Amino acid sequence: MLDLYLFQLLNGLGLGMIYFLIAVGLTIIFGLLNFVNFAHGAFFLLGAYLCYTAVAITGNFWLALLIAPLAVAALAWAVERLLIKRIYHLPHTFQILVTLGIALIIQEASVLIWGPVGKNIAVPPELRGVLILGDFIYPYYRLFLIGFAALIGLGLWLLLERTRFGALVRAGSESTETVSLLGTNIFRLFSLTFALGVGLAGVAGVLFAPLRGAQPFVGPEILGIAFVVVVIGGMGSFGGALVGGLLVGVVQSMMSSLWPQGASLMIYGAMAAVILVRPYGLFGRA
Amino acid sequence: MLNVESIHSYYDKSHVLEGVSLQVGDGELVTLLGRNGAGKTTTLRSILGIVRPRQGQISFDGQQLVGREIFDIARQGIALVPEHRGIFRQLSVEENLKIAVRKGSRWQLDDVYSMFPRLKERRRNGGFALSGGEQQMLAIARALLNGPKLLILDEPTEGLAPVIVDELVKILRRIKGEGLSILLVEQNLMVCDALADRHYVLEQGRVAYQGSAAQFRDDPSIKNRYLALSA
Repeated sequence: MLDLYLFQLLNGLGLGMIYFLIAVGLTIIFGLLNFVNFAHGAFFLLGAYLCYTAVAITGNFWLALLIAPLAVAALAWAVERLLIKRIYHLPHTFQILVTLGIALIIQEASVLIWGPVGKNIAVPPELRGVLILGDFIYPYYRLFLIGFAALIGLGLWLLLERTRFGALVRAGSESTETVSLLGTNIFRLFSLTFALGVGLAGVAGVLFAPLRGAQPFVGPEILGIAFVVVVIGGMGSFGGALVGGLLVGVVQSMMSSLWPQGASLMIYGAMAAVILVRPYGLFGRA
Repeated sequence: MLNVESIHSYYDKSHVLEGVSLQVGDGELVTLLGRNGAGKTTTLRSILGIVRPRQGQISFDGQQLVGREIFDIARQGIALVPEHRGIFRQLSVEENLKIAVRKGSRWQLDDVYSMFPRLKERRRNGGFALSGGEQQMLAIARALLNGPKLLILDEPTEGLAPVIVDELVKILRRIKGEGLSILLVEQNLMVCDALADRHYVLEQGRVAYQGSAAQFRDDPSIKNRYLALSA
């Protein structure tokens, strides 16, 4: 029985790290650009499908893990240059309308290209099999997932906290005008940040693919969870996305063995409980 | 070096600048004076590209500035020390400086640290933890790292203790001594008298007076007419 809980806890951590990757992209985009990206779930979906195609062509998951997120980020960069940069100054409701439109285009285009039935992506051969420790059994791929997402998270933290680019991004979240006055092309910084945030959703999509496959209508569900994580953690907070993601992942996973029907309900319950106590989220500022 | 020719700037429909012209020469320190609402800050914002003048020309080092992006104008060598200092609160002191560093600037990190030892002591502190005087020093240090040929300061002594104001005057004199051109908006006339080569006085969006430091000092009626708080 205890093993079952440990199993579900680890599953929850893996799921939580994926939620973290999605939510941290969303929160960076919100924090710096003050932009609400409702297409975030659709880009996650695209990451999963591009992974499927890349594996189908090259037969190599590791190559797909590199190519698919870069392709998603490149597309996001192009969409930002063409469309998004024109609507930063509009109210959030308009941003939601536009990005919801982008999400629908991506979703329907995916159905056209890959068909209405989901695709399965195999776990890479190196990570097939399970870890056996006495009575405890756990799939290697899920362990890899936790470790890899943690590495990406660490890399992202170093990028944001220890580099000039990161300092500029954080400065831009306080005042874009002052950053411009220091001779930094803020528009370029915005494009890169948007591509980075969306690229992280692409990474999450690829990592998720061997677990649940690529499903054409998963976008809205993922978007909903990402927003729950961001609300729990606090808008614009890196640490908040991590803690919120893990909390949601673990709650969802534990509940699926205790009370499966209530798993989704409990996520929103957790969110409601957090904002009752801390309206701006665990790490949020007013 | 900087030549502003009869610019007209607006906020929405209100006509804030009605044909302002001014010049700053190489190595000159020029002040821009006037009551609140006279258009001083709008003049600066027009030069920096934050506000786009609808008429008139601004040239700097032979380049036209009107219509260019803010960052592009800054890269031509114009740095601002903004009115409320514009320190990034979430960044450490050193990060505030590092994001401004430009190769080829006469001032690099070591130079501003030796000019402002206090900043070096506090380099790991967050921007939010600084006193008003320290923030002002940081804003100046940051502007110098940005490689300016022209330094613009918007009310740098506002809200500072007299001791700090004296220190600031010394620092500005030293920067001027290194040949940097400076455009200073300032309410404190003692500071202006101590530093300036020339003065402009703005009133209701026009240049109402211009003169050398000596002319300005010898003619108290100007101060009474344009700058006294009550009529």
